[in-house]
Amino acid sequence: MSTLILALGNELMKDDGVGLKVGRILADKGYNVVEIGTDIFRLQRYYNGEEKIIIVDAILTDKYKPGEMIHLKGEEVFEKLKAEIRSAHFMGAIDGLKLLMALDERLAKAEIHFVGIVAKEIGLGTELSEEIKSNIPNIIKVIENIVG
Amino acid sequence: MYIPITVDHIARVEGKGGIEIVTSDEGVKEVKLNIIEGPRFFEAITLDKKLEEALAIYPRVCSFCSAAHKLTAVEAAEKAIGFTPRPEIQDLRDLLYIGDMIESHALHLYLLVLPDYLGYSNPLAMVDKYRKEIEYAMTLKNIGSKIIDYLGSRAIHQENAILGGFGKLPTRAQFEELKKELKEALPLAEYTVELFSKLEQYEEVTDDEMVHMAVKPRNGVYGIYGDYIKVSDGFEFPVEDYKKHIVEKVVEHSFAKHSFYKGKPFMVGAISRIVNNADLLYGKAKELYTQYKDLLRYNNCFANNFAQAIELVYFIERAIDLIDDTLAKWPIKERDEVEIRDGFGVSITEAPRGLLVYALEVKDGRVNYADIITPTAMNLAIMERHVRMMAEKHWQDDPEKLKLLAEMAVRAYDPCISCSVHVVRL
Repeated sequence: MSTLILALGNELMKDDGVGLKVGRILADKGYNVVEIGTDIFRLQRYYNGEEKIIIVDAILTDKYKPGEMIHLKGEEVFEKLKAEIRSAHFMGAIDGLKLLMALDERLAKAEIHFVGIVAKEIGLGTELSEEIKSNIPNIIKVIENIVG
Repeated sequence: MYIPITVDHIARVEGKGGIEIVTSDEGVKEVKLNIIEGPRFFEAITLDKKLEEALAIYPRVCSFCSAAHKLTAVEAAEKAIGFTPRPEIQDLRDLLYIGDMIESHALHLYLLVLPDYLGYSNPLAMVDKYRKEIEYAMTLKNIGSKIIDYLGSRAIHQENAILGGFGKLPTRAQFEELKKELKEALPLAEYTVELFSKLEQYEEVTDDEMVHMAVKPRNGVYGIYGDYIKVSDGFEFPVEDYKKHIVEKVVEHSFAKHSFYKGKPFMVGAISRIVNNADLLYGKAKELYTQYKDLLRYNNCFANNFAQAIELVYFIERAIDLIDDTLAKWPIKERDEVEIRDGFGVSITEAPRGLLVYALEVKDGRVNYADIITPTAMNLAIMERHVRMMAEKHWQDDPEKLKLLAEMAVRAYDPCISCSVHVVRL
């Protein structure tokens, strides 16, 4: 199944950059990765009918420890995140994704995955927290398993 | 009795901001635009960094306007070290910047502004009935994005625009591809003008004291770069004097400073460019400007939406001309050697939302001082004034109606309140 990995985040805001950093590692390993930053609409230019979309992003939550991951799939992505997923910009990434799905039948049929990595600190800086750094090999493995 | 009307989070603007309107039996008591996103400190993070490293950081201030931040920072740095790019390199920087302009205006007009007028809460809700408009928005956005991609080398946070020129240039075939797609996009931009000419500009915010600031374009062509700032009261000043005329003040309720000119709020953005430089428009955009001149009112912030529509046409035509000029000079050397010397440089350019200031001091190859003022920071004070005007007209109406109108006034400025954080909360 063809796969596109979307790396979201801002690498100048400490752990908010984890999606981009994980995305670059995966790109170096030969996976099909697009750095979206904070603009989900860029997906439209790079989407070539891939059947699986994996969104990688930082999340903030008290339910899990920094560095841990959540993996949501299909409708769960839209149900659980709803308006909670926020970009710095005008629309949440999920709302933006839904809009793009409404415009492109192929994307509407794609299998959507969300891998959220729990951030410890979102603030000015380029370094990831130790908790996240040490878990990156595991995060990569999980995403590689999702790619299949 | 005091009644607070609060919009905790202004939807469909870029960043996090809120509006607080307090009314009593007598009328509006207080209006505040609360900027609740943290301040950015991008100036601080680049201090003492090597100049080239700092120039790689500045575009990350905003993934939407990354070309604007990158190119303004590069020009400030080149002025600081005493380097002037060749005209053909400057043309290509204009073209890259125009990519930002097209992308940003298309998204703002169709996905942020239009839902208000058509009675929808968001563009997703519009898609069944107004699919064509959403598709036009994406086509226009995508051509802007493609220009950025080809000249900036990356979709976001371009690395390709560097001191002295570009790391590499697109191929001749890529330029021709861009030209073809720009030509195809032109009718869509003209449709945008027609569509937005029918939308209401709210009389409630008519403000005859409005003052507009814009770059006085270099070489007499309506555009982005210049060495002087024009003010609609007839005053002009060199960009190096910006601190004398754009005075920033800290306000209690906002993380962002407010900006004043001669002690009063002022506006920057598409309508400010039109007010100051309409005589420099040409081609189809000039025709449309002449046809719809009455809608491009200096005294109404809602005219900014229509001004952006006119600019969509202008910048598409301008991009085609720049590509023609480039191809006529082809092949072009991508960059010249630069020598990094000590110095101080100021660049003020026209970002999609208005004036963007970068002032950089370079010492021993490193950034010794940096000052950045974004267009939204400049507009905050006047934005607040216009929300107050809207509130004074509608304070006795249904609070939901007032909330919507106040938000629409803010959205007309196309604010980018903060572009630095994006997180998911569970």
